[in-house]
Amino acid sequence: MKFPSFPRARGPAERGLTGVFGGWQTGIAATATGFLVGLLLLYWAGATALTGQWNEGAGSGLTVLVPRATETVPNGPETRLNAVWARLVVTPGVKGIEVLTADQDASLLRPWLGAGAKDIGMALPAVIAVRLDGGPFDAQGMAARLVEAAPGTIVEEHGAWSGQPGRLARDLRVYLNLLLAVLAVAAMVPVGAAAWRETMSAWPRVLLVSQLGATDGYAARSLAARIALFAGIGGLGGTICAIPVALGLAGLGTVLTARPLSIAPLALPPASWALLLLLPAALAAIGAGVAYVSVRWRLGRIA
Amino acid sequence: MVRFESVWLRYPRKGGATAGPDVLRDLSFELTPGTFCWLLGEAGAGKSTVLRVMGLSLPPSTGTVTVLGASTSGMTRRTMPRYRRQIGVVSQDFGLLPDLSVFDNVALPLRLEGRPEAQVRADVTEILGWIGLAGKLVAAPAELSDSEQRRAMVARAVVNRPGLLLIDEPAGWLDPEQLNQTIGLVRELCRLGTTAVVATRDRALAESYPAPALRLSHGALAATP
Ligand SMILES: Nc1ncnc2c1ncn2[C@@H]1O[C@H](COP(=O)(O)OP(=O)(O)O)[C@@H](O)[C@H]1O
Ligand SMILES: [Mg+2]
Repeated sequence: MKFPSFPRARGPAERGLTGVFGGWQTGIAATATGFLVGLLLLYWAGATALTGQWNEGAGSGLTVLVPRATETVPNGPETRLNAVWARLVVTPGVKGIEVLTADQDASLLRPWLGAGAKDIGMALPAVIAVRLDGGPFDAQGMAARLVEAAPGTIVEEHGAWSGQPGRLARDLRVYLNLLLAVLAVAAMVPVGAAAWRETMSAWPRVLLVSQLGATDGYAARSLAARIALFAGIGGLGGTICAIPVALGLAGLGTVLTARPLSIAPLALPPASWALLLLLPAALAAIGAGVAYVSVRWRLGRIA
Repeated sequence: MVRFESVWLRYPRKGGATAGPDVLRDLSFELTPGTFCWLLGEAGAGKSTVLRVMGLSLPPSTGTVTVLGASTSGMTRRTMPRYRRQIGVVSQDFGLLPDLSVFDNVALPLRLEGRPEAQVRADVTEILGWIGLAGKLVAAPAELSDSEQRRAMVARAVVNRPGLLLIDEPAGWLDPEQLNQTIGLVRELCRLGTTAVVATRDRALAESYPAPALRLSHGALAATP
């Protein structure tokens, strides 16, 4: 009996574990999480775009409120708005000026006041968003000059309105951010748990490849990569499914309220879509991280 | 080369505390390279445990174990894989991977060693042909009979010509002719320098292939080779 004569060359390598490990459990968990968090993100992005209108619409830098903007100044033919405008444009340090008309006022208020905002808008002060160049700026001096031109004019520093709608918008944004953060973290937990269960059920295979000479690192990386793949694909699938559902919900809301919903996912800024794409990547990273760390930790304990 | 010096072993309980009975008691022996050795004893005597210690999957509780020229106490998780690659194991503990074909299962030790794929292909095909599984290269393990699965495990254990070969209870799952062939294969490997330890409680089997034997009784050595 002649045994086959194999040469005896030995060297380190990281090959051979392709297809050894699966990742279905994590993939399924990631699909569900991708869907839920995807919906959340879409809602959040829509709401943020809305409140963002407030913060940007009302100007970052200074906000000037001119009551009775269309009335004329006491000693001349020009309107109070024009008088204030004329002084603003010559003020050093002012980079840009934007006047929100009554119509724009009304559109900003629509989420709170509904269709009646337009009538109320007529009675609102003109809002001038003033952007500053960032250098030293004498706000009080400017305020004094503006009041002199049109008595009753108000200069808000800090940019955002300090009025009720502005505060509401900021509170809403903070609340939404917190809510999203908490829900997103909570939704990631099942993915981590699934990756842990997956690691436990793959344990006999980990021990086997370890016995056959796979390094701890290679075994852990192989399982982690597999779980990342499944979690990434599952998460992407779930996220993509969330998009038509969010659009459908927005459409349903339009039907129910007989009025276009202010949160329309398709109108989202590109950054929000990019954030949505980060979601599957984050799910993959969580699954892979849990798998990698738990394999290294458990193998390390065998001594 | 395998050397046990005053080896005691208790299985660790859940939580890491060492408790329970002594499964191995004061084992001391030495096997020179190229030895073919029986490991005999009743069920529960500790044969599988000895093979686990030799195979570096279970550290002794006390005592010194030297395998392939290195003491296990000096091995780290980092250096361990290099030694394990030189140990072939056929046992219940390590079945075939269900998602890989028979070919890929047997190729695993070679690929983990970094052999070129052409060589992997040639060696795996050769050993599977030799062991009677030439027609099963692409089959899944689930499509094999018990005996065929065990032979694939033997192929996986010997395909990279290990320095140490450990086989647990071959008599249970091979018919006499396959057993004869497998033991012939192991002896051929020993002639080429492999140290082989074959555990069995079948005295008749050991007597039909005379060779040195370690006799275990309740975890202690009854006689040295
Ligand atoms: N994984 C384990 N955990 C705890 N005890 C074990 C384990 N494996 C075996 N034992 C115990 O160790 C003793 C020896 O078992 P084993 O080495 O399998 O004997 P043999 O292979 O000779 O039949 C037995 O009493 C058995 O119950
Ligand atoms: Mg046994």
